[in-house]
Amino acid sequence: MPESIGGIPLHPLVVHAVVVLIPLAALGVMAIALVPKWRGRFGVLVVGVAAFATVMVPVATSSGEQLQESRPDSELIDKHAELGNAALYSAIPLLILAVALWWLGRRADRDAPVPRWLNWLVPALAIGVAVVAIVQMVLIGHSGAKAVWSGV
Amino acid sequence: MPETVFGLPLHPLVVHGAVVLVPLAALLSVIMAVSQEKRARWGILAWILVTAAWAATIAAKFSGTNLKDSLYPTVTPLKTAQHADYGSSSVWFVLALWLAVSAMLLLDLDRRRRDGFANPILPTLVAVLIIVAAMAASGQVALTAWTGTDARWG
Repeated sequence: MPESIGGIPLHPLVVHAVVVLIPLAALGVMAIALVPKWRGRFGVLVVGVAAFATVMVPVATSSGEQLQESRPDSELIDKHAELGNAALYSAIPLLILAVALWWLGRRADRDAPVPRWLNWLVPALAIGVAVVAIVQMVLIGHSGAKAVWSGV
Repeated sequence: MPETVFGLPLHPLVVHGAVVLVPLAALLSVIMAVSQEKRARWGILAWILVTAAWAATIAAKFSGTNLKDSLYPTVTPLKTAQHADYGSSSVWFVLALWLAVSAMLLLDLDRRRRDGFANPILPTLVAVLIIVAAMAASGQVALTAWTGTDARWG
C-alpha cells in the first residue's frame, strides 16, 4: 500500500470514510432492526455502506501503522493505534448482522417463514453491536485527533 | 459556533461529514434522478442525506474560518487561503444539488397527484441538473479536501 498520495500521507485521507461510514452504517442497522418494513426498502443500502466501511477499516489501520513508523514515538499515537486495531471486531459483526436483517426482510416480503427466535435475536444483537461500533469509532477518532491536533 | 470541542479544534471533526456525505448524497441523488422506481424507494432518503451534507458543508466552512483566524491572525498562508476559497464555493455547489433534488421530489409529488408529469421535459431537465450539480459538488469538495489536507500535512 502506498504510504502517501501526491505527497500527503494516506491515513488522514482514508480515515474519513471509516469515521463517517461506520456510524452511518450503525444508524442504518439500528433503523432496519427497529422498523421491519424498512428492511426490504433500505436493506441493500445499509449492507452496501456497511460493506464499504468494513473494507476501509484495514486500509485505515495499515496506512496508520505506516504513518506511525514515520513519526517519533508518542504515547498518544500508541493509544490510538491500540484502539484502532480493535475496530474490525465490531465492523465485521455489524456487516454480518446488516446482511442478516436484509435477509430477514426479503424472507418477510416473500412470506417465507423463518424460525421465530431469529426475528428477535438478530435485531437485538444488531442494535447492541451498532452501539458498540459507534462508541468505538468515537474513541478511536478522538484519540487520533488528539495525537494530531493537541496544542493547536 | 464554538471553535473547539473536547479540547480539539472543531474543523477537522466536521470536515469528515462534508467529505464523505457530499459524494454519498450525490451518488444517491443521481440514482434517484435517473430511475423513477428508485425515486419512489429512496427519494426521501436522498433528500435527507443531501440536507445533512449541506449542513456539514456549512459547519465545515464556518469552523474552518475560525481555525484559520486562530492559527493565522495576521497573514494567511497561500495554501490555506486557496483551501478557504474552495470551501466557500463548495457551500453553493451543495446548495444547488439540494435545490435540484428538492425540485425533483416536488415534481414527483405533483406527478402522483395528477397521474403523470404536467410537462415531460421538466423532470428530464431537473434530472440533468441533478447530475451536473452532483458532479460539481463532489468535485469541488474533493478539491477543497485535497487543498486542506495539503495545507495541514503537505
